[in-house]
Order: sequence, then structure tokens, then C-alpha cells
Amino acid sequence: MHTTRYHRQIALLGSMPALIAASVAMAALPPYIVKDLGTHAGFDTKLEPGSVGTSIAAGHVVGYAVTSLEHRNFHGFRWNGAGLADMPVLAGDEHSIAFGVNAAGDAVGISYKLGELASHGVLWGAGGRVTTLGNLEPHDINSAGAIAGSMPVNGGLGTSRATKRVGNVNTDLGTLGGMSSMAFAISESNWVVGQSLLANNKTTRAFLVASGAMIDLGTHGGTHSRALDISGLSVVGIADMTGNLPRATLWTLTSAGTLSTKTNLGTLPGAINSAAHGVNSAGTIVGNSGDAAFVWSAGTMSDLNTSIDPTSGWHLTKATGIDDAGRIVGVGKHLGLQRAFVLTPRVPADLDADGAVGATDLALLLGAWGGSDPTFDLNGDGSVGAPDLAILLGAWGS
Amino acid sequence: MARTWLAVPLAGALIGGTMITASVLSFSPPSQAVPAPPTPYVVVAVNDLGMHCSQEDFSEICILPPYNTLRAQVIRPGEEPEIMDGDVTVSYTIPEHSRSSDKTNFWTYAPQLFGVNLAPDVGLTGHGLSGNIPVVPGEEYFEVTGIPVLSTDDSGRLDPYPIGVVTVTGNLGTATTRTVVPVSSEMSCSLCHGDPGHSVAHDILADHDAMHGTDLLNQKPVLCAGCHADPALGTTGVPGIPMLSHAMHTSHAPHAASAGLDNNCYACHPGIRTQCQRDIHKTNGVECVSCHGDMAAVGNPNRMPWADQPRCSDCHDKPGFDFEQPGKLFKDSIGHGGVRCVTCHGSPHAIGPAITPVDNAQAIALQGHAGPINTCTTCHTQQPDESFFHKVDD
Repeated sequence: MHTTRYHRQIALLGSMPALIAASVAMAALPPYIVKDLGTHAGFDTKLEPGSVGTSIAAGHVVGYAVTSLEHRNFHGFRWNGAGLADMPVLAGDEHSIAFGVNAAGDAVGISYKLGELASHGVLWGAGGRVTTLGNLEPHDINSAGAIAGSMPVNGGLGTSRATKRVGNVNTDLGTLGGMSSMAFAISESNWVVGQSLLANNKTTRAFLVASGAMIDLGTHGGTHSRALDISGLSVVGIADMTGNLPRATLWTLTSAGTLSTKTNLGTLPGAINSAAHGVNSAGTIVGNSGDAAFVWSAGTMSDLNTSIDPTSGWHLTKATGIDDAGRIVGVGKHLGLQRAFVLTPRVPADLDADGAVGATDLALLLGAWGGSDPTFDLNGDGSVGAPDLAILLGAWGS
Repeated sequence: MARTWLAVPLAGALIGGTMITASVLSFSPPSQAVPAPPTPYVVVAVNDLGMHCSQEDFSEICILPPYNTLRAQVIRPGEEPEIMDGDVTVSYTIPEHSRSSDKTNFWTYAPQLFGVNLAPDVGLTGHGLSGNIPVVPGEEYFEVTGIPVLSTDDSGRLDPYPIGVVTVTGNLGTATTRTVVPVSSEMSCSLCHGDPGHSVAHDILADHDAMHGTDLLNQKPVLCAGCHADPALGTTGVPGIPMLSHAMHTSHAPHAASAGLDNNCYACHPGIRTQCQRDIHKTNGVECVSCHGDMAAVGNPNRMPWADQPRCSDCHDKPGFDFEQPGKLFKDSIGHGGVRCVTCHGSPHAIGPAITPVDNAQAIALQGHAGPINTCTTCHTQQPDESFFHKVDD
């Protein structure tokens, strides 16, 4: 398969002198390719905020974006690779937001009207089927279809109960003693995390519900904490240090569903706060620190703005989710407008950063043949040669 | 302080931009009222304005920071109800808005904009998203200012009507109420401002530089009220430079119509989606300009922004009735033995019954129906024999 494509593309090389020349000037390529998801079709591009990406799983991306200049409505979206597919509101409502998506592409969120007492939960199936979930405000869905969300209490007046939905059964997960709790994420083993007020009704704490009662995940000596995502035995969120300085936090769990460790992930240089919004099965964490999106891996927090093309016109402000392939969703400013983004880890052989390995990349590699430019030295042996070509051809079409 | 309450305050009234003496102002106790379950205290909380604006991105420009205000009155029910000015602890929390620092970059830029180093989630007056509400010295109400709440809740839901829970605790026990702490970032500058490749804020600063010879693009982040005096933020501005309200309204007046909105005020004020004006007046066709006048009137340099505001008595007129106290606005006036007007009627722009169910919820919880709190037994343990007159000193 690769040989066939290789021969087909070799024939194109005669038309590539410009690309080859350009390759000489190329610096080391940033590790992520950034994609602007745009907004719903037909809206005035001057309008801001435009779109927000909220969740990603197995490449399925959801969020919400403004739909019309006239009413300023927001509708949930599903990114279909070329544009935003609308997640329509329920009859009588005006806005929808998609909060979570699973690996099958089933998405959950809410349909609502501003100023009403409660929202309506919605499951937008990958196949297009829309299922209403009553007053449950779902926030996350796992591969088996179990949902974490919140059920309003007291008529929906600002207080709710963290709820787990398995099948058609909603289970009230209770609180940590206070009047309200909210669930934000559910793991593949149906463990739920979120936030709850303590009995004083002033202090908010991150919680975990594994197989038993709700447990307080604590802080770093400060007052408040929130748990925003869970993957396997890793929980991430925000916890205050002494002085109530918010810090992105990783809580690790035992297989029995108890707290094992609690790690302050720090901040980006100069920032006064940080928040972790997503974690994947490899333990890679994303979030924001100060005014920038970050990725944290193996003990190091990095500004994602340094990992994309600096001429792209983007400032990434918040990363909200990461899937197991390392793709990251979030929100930032692109050419001055608020937009949802997806970052795709660069395939080393995708030398022109167009998201696919093909003829242009081959031309660039051949243009650097015999040199030592690390951009094209795909195997890192110090020179650009046959082993690098083999890597590129092996990734052909990816 | 014990006070005798003779009856209940005025029912919701209609105005239409002209002086009226409508019979709707007459009071009649609602027959369908559902007595509230007995509680040791009655607590009513309101926002001071009915809507606050706040941006979420402060990296280039600041018009208004996160800053909200809650006021509460606490009443001990009885045949002669007592307005509490102490001896109780009043606290607030906004359960589904527990944190703001992960939703805005305000705290990153606050030192440059306001010259203060604020702890995240603490507002400009030192208050956070939960805490105690102190009594206002010499007054019979409690107030907390500068709450840094935003219009996105902890789940990510866009919500300009966050619900605050206010709790009073004293020797007699505990009572709770729930009220809207309204905030919106829907300042739609983008209807007119914005060039391809640049942010709306950048375009605004560029226009200002071109028109006024300033160099704001090189001074980001810019606090508008740093030069233009703004009573909302307490800034005195630079002598010779118009106040912010005057400058904004006069400079934008010629362009308002080009926004093409049914309500041009919503080109800048929140908003098309938010509906700052959502009260009983809205239901009856009263729009912003009906009370506030047009942009030329609001931008009149002889007008003091935030102080020279419409008065109920500009339209309402019923013999024997009082409306605001002399020299005070509706939001700051009292009547009926010290009860604040807003305690019964609700916040300005959200006067009950409002078009938004969340704004009506407090009244419904207290007396079983929306609209002004006009059920005597909300606070009086016995239905008063005497009729109620809407007088300041009644």
C-alpha cells in the first residue's frame, strides 16, 4: 500500500521546487496543529464570543457556538471535521450547550431558556437520535452510556444534587453535608467526581463517589476545591493553597476508590492561578493558568501557546479536554475573536502541518536530504536520509 | 427596634411613560395568598441594580469589572414586626457559582487596571463568592458589595441570573431566601466594532486613538474609567475629560440606529439575550427610553451618571401615596416603617412580577405568588385591621 502511494507521489516531485526551497527555511515544527472550529454557519463573524469547545473523546468534539445575530442564541455543536453540526434546542427553549461526549460520539448537555427555573437534559446520540433526560443536567457520559450530572432541588433555584444515571435510573449522590452538589465527570468504572458544599454552605470541596459514600478530596491548605474530570485512577480539578490561591490539582486514587495522592501542579511562570480541566488515560492533563492554556505531563506544565505555530494568530486561553490520542479541545482568541480550537499532536512526518502525510511532506523531506535539520530528521540520528524516508512512507496517508 | 406595621405595601403598578392615576394602584389583599410557613425571621434579599455588567476578558480593555451587590433586610415576624439591625448573622453563598478565577482573566490584569493585588476569587472590595453580609451602620439593612460573580456557572452554563442563597441566623433560629445576583457580559460592542484580524477591544482602542490623539493601543490593558470619571467605580478621571457615561452616550448616539435592533440600548447594555429590563414595566410596554430618555438625554453633561435616575413619581401619581423619599432613588428609599421599597417590589429592572421566573421565585416562596410582597401575613402574624397607605412614614 505504501509502495504504491510512494511511486504515485514520486512522479509529482518535478513540480515541487518551490516547496523544496521553502523547506530550507523551515524551523523545528511545533508539536501541535491548531484548528479553528469556527461557529455555526450563517452567523456574523464579528460577533463575540463565538464558540467554545467543551469536550473531546476519540476525536469527537463538542461545545457550543452562537447561532444568530438577532437573538444571540447559543446552540451546542458537534465538530464533524469540516464544520459544526447543530445540536438543536428542545421546543420552547432558546439555547443548548453540549458538555460531554464519549468515544462513540454520544453527547450530553442541556437545552434551556434564560431565566427559567430549570434546564432540560438532552442526550444527542451519535446517530442523530435526541433523547430528553428530564430535569437532569448531564455533564459527562462514559462509553457504556452512564451519565454524571446534576438534578435541581428546591425548584431549580441555584441548588442541585450530584446525580449518576445508569440506564434509566438516576441516583442522588448526596452532598458533603451542604445544600448543593454538582457532578462533572464519570469514569469508565462509573466513578463520579464533582463539587459539593460542606455543612457550612460556604465551602466548596471536590468530591469522589466510587463504590461507597461521597468523599472529600480536600485542598492544599486552602478553603475550596473542585474536581472536574476523571480518567482511570486520576482525578483533576482545582484546589486552593494556603491563602486560597487556586492550583491545578491531580488527585490519584487507589483501586478501592480511596484517595492516594494529591499533587499541586503549580502554575505557568508569572501566573497567580491555575485550573486543570481534563485528563486522559495516559495521565496527561490540560487546563489554564493565568491567561494561557497549558498541558501537563510527567511533572512539567507547558504553555500550549508555545507548542503551536507562532504565526497562527491564536492565543489559547483555556484547554478544556484531552482524549486518549492526545488531542486537545478548548477556547482561545483567533485573530481577535473567541473561538473553539482543537489541537492535534503533530505526526512527525507531517512536515507541512496540514494534518496529513502526503506528497508535500515527501517533497520537503527530499529537499532536506543529506542535511541535519532536526525538523526532517525524523529518527533523530543526526542526518536526513533513508530511515527518515521510511518513517514518512510508513505514515503515508495518516 | 419594634415597629407597628399597619398593612402591606403597594401592589405592582403600571406605568406607560406618562403620568397615570390608574386604579391598579389600589390595594386589595390577594385572596389566593398562601401563608408562608412560620420561620423565626423573614429575610428578603435583592440586587441593587437588577443587572450588573462584567467582561470576562480584561487583557485589553476594562469597562466594568466583576462587581455585584446584595442587600438584605431581616424582619422578625410578629403582630408588630421588627426590622433587625443587629443581633443576627447574615451570610450569602452562590452555590453554583463557587469560583470565578477559572472563568476570567480579571485577576491577572487587576494589578495593572486597578493597582491592587487581589487574591483570586476576591473582588475589589475584599468580598468573595460567599461570606457574611454586614449591617450597614446606622441603617436597617445588610449589604455586601463587590461580589465577583460572573455569568457562567460552575458547570459551564451561560446564566446571567445566578441564584444567591442568603441565610440569617440568630437567637430565634435560621431562615433562608434565594435571590438573583444578576450579571451579564453581553456588551455587544462587536455589533459595530471589530476589524478582521483584530479583537473588538483592539478596534475600540484604535478608534479612540484616531479620534482623540491618544496612544491607548500601546497602553493595554486600559481602564476606561481611569481617564473618564465614573461614579460606578468611584473614579474621578482626568479634569477636562468627559465622564464615561457622557462620553459613551454622546459619541455613540449617532450610530445607535445602525445597530438595527428593536431596542437600541441593547447594542451596548445587556442585552438582546440578557434582557436587563425584564420587570412589570416591560410587560406593559415600557422600554428603557420610556424612563431614562434617549441617548442625548442620558449623555447630557449636566446629568450626574448613576445618580440622576428616573423616579417612580415621574409617572406614578395617586393621591395620598408616597413613592421615593425626597432626594433618594427607589433603590435606596424606605417606607412602611423602615421597609425598603426594593424589599417588597424587587430590584430595579426586575420589579415583580418579572418576565423571568427566577426573579419571581423569592416572592412566591414568601407569600405564594409573584409580584410585590403584599401579603400582610408574610411578616405580620395577625392580619392588621387597619388599611395600608403607601406612605413613607406609614
